[in-house]
Order: sequence, then structure tokens, then C-alpha cells
Amino acid sequence: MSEKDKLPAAEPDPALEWAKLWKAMAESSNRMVEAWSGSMAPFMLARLSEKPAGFGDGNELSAAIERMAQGPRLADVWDIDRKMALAFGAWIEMRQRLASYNAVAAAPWAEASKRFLETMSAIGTGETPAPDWREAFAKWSEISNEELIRNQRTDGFLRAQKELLQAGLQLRSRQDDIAEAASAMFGLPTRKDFDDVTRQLTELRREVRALSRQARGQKIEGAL
Amino acid sequence: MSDQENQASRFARDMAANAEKMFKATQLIANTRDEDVNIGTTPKHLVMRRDKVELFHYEPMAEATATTPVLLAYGLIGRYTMADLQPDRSLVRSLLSKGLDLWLIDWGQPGRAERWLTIDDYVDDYIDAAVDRICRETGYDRINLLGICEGGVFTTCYAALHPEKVKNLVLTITPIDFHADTKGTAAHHGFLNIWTRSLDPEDIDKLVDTYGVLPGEFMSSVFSMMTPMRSLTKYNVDLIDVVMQSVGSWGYCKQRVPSPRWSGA
Repeated sequence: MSEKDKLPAAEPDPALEWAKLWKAMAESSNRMVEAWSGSMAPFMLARLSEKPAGFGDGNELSAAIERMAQGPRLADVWDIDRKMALAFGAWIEMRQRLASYNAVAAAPWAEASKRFLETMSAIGTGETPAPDWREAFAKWSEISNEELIRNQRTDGFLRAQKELLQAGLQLRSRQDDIAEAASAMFGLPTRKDFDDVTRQLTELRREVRALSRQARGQKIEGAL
Repeated sequence: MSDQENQASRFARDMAANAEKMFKATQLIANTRDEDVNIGTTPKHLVMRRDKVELFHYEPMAEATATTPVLLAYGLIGRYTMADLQPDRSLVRSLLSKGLDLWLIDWGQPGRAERWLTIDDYVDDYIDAAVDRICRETGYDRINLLGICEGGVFTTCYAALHPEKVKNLVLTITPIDFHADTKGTAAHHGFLNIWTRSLDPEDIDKLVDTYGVLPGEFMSSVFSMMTPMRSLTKYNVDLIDVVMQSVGSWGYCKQRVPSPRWSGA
């Protein structure tokens, strides 16, 4: 038996093992994203050509991704990939909501332009002198302001903005899930841990201050 | 000369005149550094710190005319410097020059660690502790409260809960009726109420869960929607007017330029 054979087998390095696992997961998720991009691009282009509003009026794609991501689960195997897929679905959903919002938010500018042209045409005729550019800009500003304020109060605008906010929050939440999983994987404190600590600290402060007030009250009563 | 020629020459003249003003405005902004913009400089000293909240006492600037202390409380949106912008535009200096004994609560900058604080903490803990401290320092058992914006909401709650500690309550730009817009007010009033009511309570909860606080950029964007065109033009086209008002004084001009810290607020 050689000297080398007599030595005990080296312990596997956990950090190295994690790094390998992480690399495998990243490669796997990259392949998944590439596959989606390849398979979904023709579908997305077709949808865009069918409907000028693009994805603004539907969310089938993100719903499909969500269904795929939430399919059968095998304990926590490929959990990070599932989280990435959910974040990708949330990103598509957010883009759709943003497109819808932009369409609603752009509407008052067309109306403002129409009103401005009508107003300026009326001013420019007859003996009234044409306004200088500052006066014209002030009129444009006044009309646009009226139209924007009117639009912001419509149900359509408020709904579009609410849905965009919800989609943005969902995306952020899914991104946070990935960050949490990565932190947990490397044994780092997560944001949830931080929230737990600050909650306990806030509650502790309240208790201490309530006791302090109580003690002060008793001291004053005792002195009377 | 025809009307069209008149208009064209007038437009060219206007553009030439305004191009010069725009050039001056750009030059002014380019030459202005943060250190040129001095805000919140009225002398004061720290009396108490509680978490991130600080209680300050302003140095007197005139003979005392009213000795009851005044506690100034602004909102969590913005900073206390809104009441002390610069020497000639300062509510704080104005009150001090009238001989008032002025105190200030600075809420600091709440972050994720403050996400568990409630309105009870602000009203019944921070303000209450500040009032108790002022009473202890001055010997008064009641003080005057001056609430600005959301600070007015806090001080109103405090005055309702502790009337024995409040001599007078003064409010400015304070929202009290959050449904006033439903009673047929002008079209440009109450947008924040309408916008907030369009959300579900779960949306607000999720916003706070996700970010810990309402992000400043988010609040700024909602506030800018209250006056949409003004928000779009105040840092570009309106700068022409700032230059026109400057009457050739660069020092005065620099004071007129809003600090970058205020941009979008």
C-alpha cells in the first residue's frame, strides 16, 4: 500500500460544493430563459401584429409561466429556478400593466393638442395679435394641466395605475424571494431576519417606555 | 410687412432674447454647488434624541414677547428645512424675530427599521416625550403646538388625547377631512384622497411589506401628479423666470435655486 493510500480521504469542501450547485442552477436557469425566449419570441411577435396594444390587454403569457413554475414540486429541488421563473413571469406581467398604463396616460395629450390648436386658431384670426411663444406656452400648459387632471380622476386611469402598482410590487416581491433564497443558501441573514429583529426591538422599546411611564406615575402618586 | 412676416420676426426676436436667458440659467445651475445652497441654518441646539427623532431648541433672535414655548412639528414627508429654507425665506426666523420661544421635532429619515412604528408611536411617544421635556426645561405645564402638513395631523391627535398639556394648537396646510373631495370641491382638489381610495388596503400593506416604508420617489411621483404641468416645467422653462427675477445678482440668484435635495419633492 502506498503512503498516499494510507492517508484519510479529504473532507469535501462545503463551500466548493455549494458553489458547484449554484453554478449548475444558474446554468440551468439560463438554459430555461433561453428556451423561453426562443419559443416565445414568435408568439409574442404574432400577438403584437394581431393587436396594436400588444400585451396591454392580456396576461396569458405570465399566467402560463406561473402555472409552469407552480407545477409539481419535488421538495426544494430546483427551488431557485422556480423562483426565477416566477420573477420572470412577474416581470412580463409588469410590462403588460405598464403598456396599459402608458396607453391610458397618453390619452389626455391628444385631447390637449386638439384644444390647443383650436384655441390658437381662434386667437390668431382677426385683429387680435398672435401671442408670443411664452403666452402660447402658458396657454398650452393651462390646457394640458386641465386635461391631465381630468384624466387622472377617471376610473380607467386609477385602475391602470393600481394594476401597475400591484404588478410592480409582485415583481419586487418575487425578486426578494430570490435574494432571500440566495442569502439562506450561503448562511447570510435575510431581510426577513432583519424585519424580525427590528419588530422585536420596536416592541421591546414600547414595553420599556410603558414601564418607565408607569414607574414615573407611581413615583408622582407616592410623592403626593 | 405682412402678418406672417411680423409673426416670424417677433418669434425670432423672442427666441433670441430667451435663448440668452436660458444660457444664463444653464450657466447659473452649472456654477451652483451644494455648498452654495445653505438651508436650515438658523442656530439651534440638540436637547433630546429618541431613536431617530431629535428635539431642538432654537436660539432666541429677539426679546421675548410670548414666553409659552412653541413646538413645531412637520410631517414625515419632507424635512424640517421646509420651515427654514434660507434667511429671507424662513418661517422659523420669522417666528423667532417675533420673540417666540421655538422648539422643533426632527423626525430624521425613517428607513426599513422604522417599518413597525405606528401613528401611536409618533403621537403618544415621540411628541409626548418632547412635550414633557420642554415642560421640564421651561417650567411650563402646557405648551403651544404648531403643526405643519402631516405634523398637523399628529399634533391634532396629540391635542385631542392630552388637552391638559396643550395651550394652543396652530395648524397650517394640514389635511383633516380626507373625504372633502366627495363634497363637490374644485377639480384640482383632493387628488391624494382619490388616489389613495382607489387602492385596496392590501395594496398599502404589500407596499409597506415590500419596501418597509413608502419610498420617497414614489411619494414624490404621486405628489407631482397634483400639479402635473407645474411638475413638468418648474425645473426647466420656469428657470427663465428665475433668471429674470435675479436682476443681475449672482448671489441672490444662487439663493433662488432650489437645492438638489428638494428636487422632485
